[in-house]
Amino acid sequence: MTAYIVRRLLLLPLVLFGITLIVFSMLQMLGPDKLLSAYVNENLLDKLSPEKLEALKEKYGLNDRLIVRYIKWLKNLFRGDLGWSLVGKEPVLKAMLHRIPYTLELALYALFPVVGVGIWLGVKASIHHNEPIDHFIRVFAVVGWSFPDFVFGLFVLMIFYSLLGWFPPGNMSIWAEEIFSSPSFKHITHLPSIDALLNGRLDLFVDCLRHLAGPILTLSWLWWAYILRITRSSMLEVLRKDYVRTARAKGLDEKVVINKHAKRNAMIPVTTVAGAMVIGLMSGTVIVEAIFNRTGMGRFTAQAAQQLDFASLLGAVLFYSTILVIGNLIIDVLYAIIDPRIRLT
Amino acid sequence: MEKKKILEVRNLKTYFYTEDGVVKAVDGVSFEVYEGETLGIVGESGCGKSVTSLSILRLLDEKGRIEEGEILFKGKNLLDLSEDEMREIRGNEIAMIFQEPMTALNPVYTIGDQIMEAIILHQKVSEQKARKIAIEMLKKVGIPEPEKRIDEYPHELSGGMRQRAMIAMALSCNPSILIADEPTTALDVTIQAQILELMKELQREYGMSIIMITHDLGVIAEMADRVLVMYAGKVVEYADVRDLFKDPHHPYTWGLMNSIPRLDVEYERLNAIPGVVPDALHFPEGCRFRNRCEFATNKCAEEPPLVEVKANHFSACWHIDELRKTMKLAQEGETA
Repeated sequence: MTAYIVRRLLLLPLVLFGITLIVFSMLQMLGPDKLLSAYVNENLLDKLSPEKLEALKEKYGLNDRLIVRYIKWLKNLFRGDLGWSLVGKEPVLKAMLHRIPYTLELALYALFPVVGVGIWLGVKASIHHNEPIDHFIRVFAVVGWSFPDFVFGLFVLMIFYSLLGWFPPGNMSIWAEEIFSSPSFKHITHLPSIDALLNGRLDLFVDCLRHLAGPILTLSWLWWAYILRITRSSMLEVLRKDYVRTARAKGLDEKVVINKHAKRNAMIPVTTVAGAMVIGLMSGTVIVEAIFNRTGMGRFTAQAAQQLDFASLLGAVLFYSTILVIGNLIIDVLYAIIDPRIRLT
Repeated sequence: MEKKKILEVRNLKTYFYTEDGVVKAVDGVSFEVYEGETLGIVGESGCGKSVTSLSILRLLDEKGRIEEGEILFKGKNLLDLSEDEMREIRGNEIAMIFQEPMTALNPVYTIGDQIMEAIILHQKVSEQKARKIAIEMLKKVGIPEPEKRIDEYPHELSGGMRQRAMIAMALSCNPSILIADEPTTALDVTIQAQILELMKELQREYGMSIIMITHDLGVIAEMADRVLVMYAGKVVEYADVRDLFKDPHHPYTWGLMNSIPRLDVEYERLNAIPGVVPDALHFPEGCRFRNRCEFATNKCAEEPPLVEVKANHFSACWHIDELRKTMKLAQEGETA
């Protein structure tokens, strides 16, 4: 298994090379005129003479061949220079490092409620198949699944912020931001809530959680439906299997039958879905970030795409591809741990 | 010597409540099992033989319900026990093995883990002790290198080895009754013979009773002391195994025996009972076999009682005399 993991990780640079080459080529297809707007204000562009425009294109190397430009980008990448981010108004790498912690933090905290509770609900529904609790959970799932996130997010804001004042939007309060950026505050993990704990600032930690609660609630509500439905159907299938009957025929307690014999077998399809979800969470959630005014990778990428901010887009692509490759590797390893029939070679 | 009754099933009725209606899968079945003997239950698919065995252990799925009857095990009615008390019986006093050893073992746990589970549960021993017992059991059922095999997963064993592991698991707590639901159906013929031989051997050693459920009269002839023939949820004939084969008293039993090809006769076509088992939702009134029976008359619209036709031989048919005449003619025709 170790050899398998190492091999997959060694493939990562190759994957990154391929993906960035594709995205880079696609972006270059826009042509030098469009590309120039990434460097010069559009209003200004209209006023410039053709000679001036040509000079600018030459200056930014827009007339060079694609491969030359890509190699130049790669060279800079190895020096740790991903270019200037129009969206972030700072170097791309720095802009991303400012946003990734907020995305990862949300993913980390949303993981348990979304996946854990989703599976729990699904198992509950399956063992009470066709009983009132099962119907209730299923209705809940359909309602949750049919809600658009921008509607539900606004409801959460309305109730828990406007009405109750519990869960404010944003990354953290202004006073918290001041402590967070003060020189005495040590950034160890770069995840604000964890660093708050490590610095012994419980008030800051609570403030971070209050700002996380709204997005987590929204994401949970929307994704529970999906995960509990997969879990429920997978469990129902497994509960009909002969080995579950064998386990019962041994005289095992129903709890052991469910938790030991049925659940583990039911987890394979759930792992696939939950894994994809976690990868989605890690790549940022554009709408939830926008509604709750969080500065995460989702919004950053969306803005970069809107403004034709190529440097930021390519940086985001690097980040997503890495998450995707490592995430899928973790899912594959989990499969092999859950089911001994799956061998990684 | 009068043998001791260990299990007595009286007038068992197990119904399934489906969306299309009530399926009377087992409808008034009675039989008894004596200590150390093998009772065969034989019948076509859907005759209720598996449901009968699952009813004994109360392992029916959510749609199935035992409507009536008594299941007396060592004098206690199993239907009166609480779920907790029932768990004490399952795997400990009455164990069960199933048809498909591939699917009856949990693919994600080692066979050792699955055998030890029952031992730890019922014998309240430590894990090391349970492991020792499990290895001992694997050795007994003829699995080579049990110390190594105990840590293997079901998919690493062959079909025959898996069924041996299932038997080891079932017998690990030394049960009084082993219910074997088509234990050899999924195995090829040479392995079948080995498994049956093994079961006989272990029965001699442990002195347990076996309820052998099968559709295969060959297995019945090989294994059973007494036989219960079921058709469409009812008992049609119940007799000593020799007597049943020599002197069947029900057209269905006779039909089953005729459908076994014989080596000394040349056939144009193999004999078969015409028609199929009726849909469980719409069993015919009266004798349920009458729509396939060559002796059926209007009389058969009335349900025939299960009566003792001779010592320890029961049959439920209105036309036993007709059947015996025809059987005699057939026999004479053969010898002539």
